[in-house]
Amino acid sequence: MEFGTSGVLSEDGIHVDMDRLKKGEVNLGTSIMAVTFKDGVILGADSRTTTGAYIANRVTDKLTQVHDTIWCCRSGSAADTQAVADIVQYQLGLYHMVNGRPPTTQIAAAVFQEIAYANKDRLTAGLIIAGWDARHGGQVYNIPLGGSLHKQPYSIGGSGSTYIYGYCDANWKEGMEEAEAVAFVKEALKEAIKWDGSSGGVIRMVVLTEKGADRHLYLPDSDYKVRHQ
Amino acid sequence: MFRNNYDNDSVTFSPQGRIFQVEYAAEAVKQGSVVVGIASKTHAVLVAIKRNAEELSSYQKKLFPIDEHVGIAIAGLTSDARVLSNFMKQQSLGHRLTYGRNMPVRTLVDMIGSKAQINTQHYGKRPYGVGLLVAGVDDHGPHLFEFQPSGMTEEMVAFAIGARSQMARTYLEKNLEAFADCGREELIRHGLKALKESLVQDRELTIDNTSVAIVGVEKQEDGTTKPQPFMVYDGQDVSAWIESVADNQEAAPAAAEGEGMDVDS
Amino acid sequence: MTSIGTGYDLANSIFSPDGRNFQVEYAMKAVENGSTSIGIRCKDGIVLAAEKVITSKLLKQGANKRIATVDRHLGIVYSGMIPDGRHFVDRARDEARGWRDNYKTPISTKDLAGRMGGYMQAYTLYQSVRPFGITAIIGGYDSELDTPVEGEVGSGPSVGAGGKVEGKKHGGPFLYMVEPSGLYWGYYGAATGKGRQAAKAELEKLDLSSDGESSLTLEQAVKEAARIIYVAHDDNKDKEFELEMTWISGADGPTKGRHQEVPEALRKEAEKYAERMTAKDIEEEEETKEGGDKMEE
Repeated sequence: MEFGTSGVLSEDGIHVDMDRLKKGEVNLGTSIMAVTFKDGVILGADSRTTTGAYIANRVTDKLTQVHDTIWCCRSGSAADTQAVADIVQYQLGLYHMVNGRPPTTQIAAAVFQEIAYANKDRLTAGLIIAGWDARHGGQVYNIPLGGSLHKQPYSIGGSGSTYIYGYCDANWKEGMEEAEAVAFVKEALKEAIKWDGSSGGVIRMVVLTEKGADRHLYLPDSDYKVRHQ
Repeated sequence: MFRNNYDNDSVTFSPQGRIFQVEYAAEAVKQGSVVVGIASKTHAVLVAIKRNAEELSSYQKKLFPIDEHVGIAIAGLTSDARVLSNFMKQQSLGHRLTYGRNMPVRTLVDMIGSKAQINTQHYGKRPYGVGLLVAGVDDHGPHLFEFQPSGMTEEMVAFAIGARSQMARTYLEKNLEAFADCGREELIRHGLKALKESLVQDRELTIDNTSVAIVGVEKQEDGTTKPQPFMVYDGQDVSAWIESVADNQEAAPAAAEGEGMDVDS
Repeated sequence: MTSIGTGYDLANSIFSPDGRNFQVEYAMKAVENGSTSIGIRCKDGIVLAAEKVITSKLLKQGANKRIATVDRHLGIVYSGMIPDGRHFVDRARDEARGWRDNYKTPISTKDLAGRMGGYMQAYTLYQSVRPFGITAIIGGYDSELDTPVEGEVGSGPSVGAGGKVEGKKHGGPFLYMVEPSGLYWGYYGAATGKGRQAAKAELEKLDLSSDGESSLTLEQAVKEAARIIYVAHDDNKDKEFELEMTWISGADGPTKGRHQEVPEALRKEAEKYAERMTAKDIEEEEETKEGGDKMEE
């Protein structure tokens, strides 16, 4: 009973280990998160990509734009998440052109979910969709491995996220100011990077508001204190 | 009928906005022998005149069951009617398999309406050359629908199509008020009387050329209703009904229920 | 008929020397022969109405509906060749369903009108098909609320989403009319079919576009729609007709955002109003006639 090609059948012939990647595949073992705040949303991620113990890329950009102010955080298989994000970016661009107005974050989440669920046997992709639009403001949606859709005030994902559930729960506040929210994301990711071997490198962030998309970069050299220009 | 530049196919509008091929298809319906349908609160009945090609040949059947709760009467190209009736049978059976119950009659009729309309809008296809009266029973009670080659379908209280059907329709319009409360036998008699109006001068209803079909619900003594499946009657089985509407029997009231009547075969 | 095409009108998709597709124009003739249908967009909803000419006394009253529902919040009424109209509605339902499958949210009226315009237009491109013999009026009420993504679990922050741009209104009632050529526009009041001239004249007199005091409410629009159908029926005077009316309001209105048939009581009221108003018109006409006679003395 094989479930597509992304699982490995265990010895009892019944259970499938969905978390195993295919041989040689690149892993986005990772720490990602997205939060809503007073003026919109902020996405954040580490920058480490591994093949086994080897760090294939130490400055990865896991925050991918799918529309002007709709971005996603990618975790799981790098190939799978890049392919899905590509398709969604195409569909949202087409939507804007055909319908004469930008898609909302909800439309983006729906399209992501459609692909994730329909191909659940073939993909290893954990995505966090976050965006700002004029009508609905900032929204965060989490799409874990199975392809379900979860709307949340903030969301964390990736292997490093397991170490920061307590920290986030204790420090989260709704409707934070931008500076507060940036600090929250940064500190949370710092903790995740500290504890998770698969996470590390720089901290990348994107702030999405009415003003558009604003990228942040923080290097470990300055202990993530200084925003790199 | 006149010939003109705009009547070659069904993808050509005339300058007046008519589609002649569809209108010609309706002519084919008018060439078929007459069929009459009536619906009451409890039953839907179809009656038909059958024709034979020659003296010794068999008579063309006009009434066909589709499922246990619905059947059709045809007028026009029999082969086209066969295609539509096969389609209806398949759809009806498929619905029964999926949902475990009768297909609503309106849904079935809408399907053949859509099917026929496509044939009026694409090149290389021709409109169906048959008109149908569809009689059936579902959760909303008994229904009678008319189907035309244009794909137009309408629910009727009573109707007639085929050769000289206007005469039958006139009878039906005159007696419209009476139908709703008619019982089974009375409804059949009305149908046959309407049919007689459309006969050619020297023709009569006989057991060879008359067909009757009925479907409905019957109230039981304990107040519940039992469905009566669609049944077609031919030959000897219709003799009692024919007798009851024979010209010298017009005065006879409900006593002529068909039981205890002596009939010469 | 001034425009018999002399050979360029025999097939669809053919341009005449003056750039016309005659088959499309002939299709519009089929629409003009059909019974009247109208749509009204007022500030709190949509009203659609159809004049159903009774072609036979044998028709079952109330059983043959002309106005169709698409999804929950959209309605379509059409004039012309009824089977073509049903084909159109079937496609609209497919489009609405496809949109929902893909985007997990109901289609907006504008987007459906766009899709249907495109579909109609496609039937003007090929000789192997003919144009639709209908003009369709599409009315819908796009939800003003924040509808969730279908199937989502959970919710955003309890203080509400941050960064919303305040003051802008979203959703609302919309009305479009699509012709056999695929051309469509948005309207406050639309009419098609045999009595469209008379209906349009009446629609123009109504106050539909403003937000002011005199602007029609949904109930008033229902009554006016009935009256306008009665006026338009004058062009079909010698036949009897049945009036079919539907309406769509917002989430806090009488239909709760859904396309529904106007309830019996309101429809009867509207028909009484329509009869009274059209009778008054006839009275006024007769009075002026009498006045004319008097002058002869």
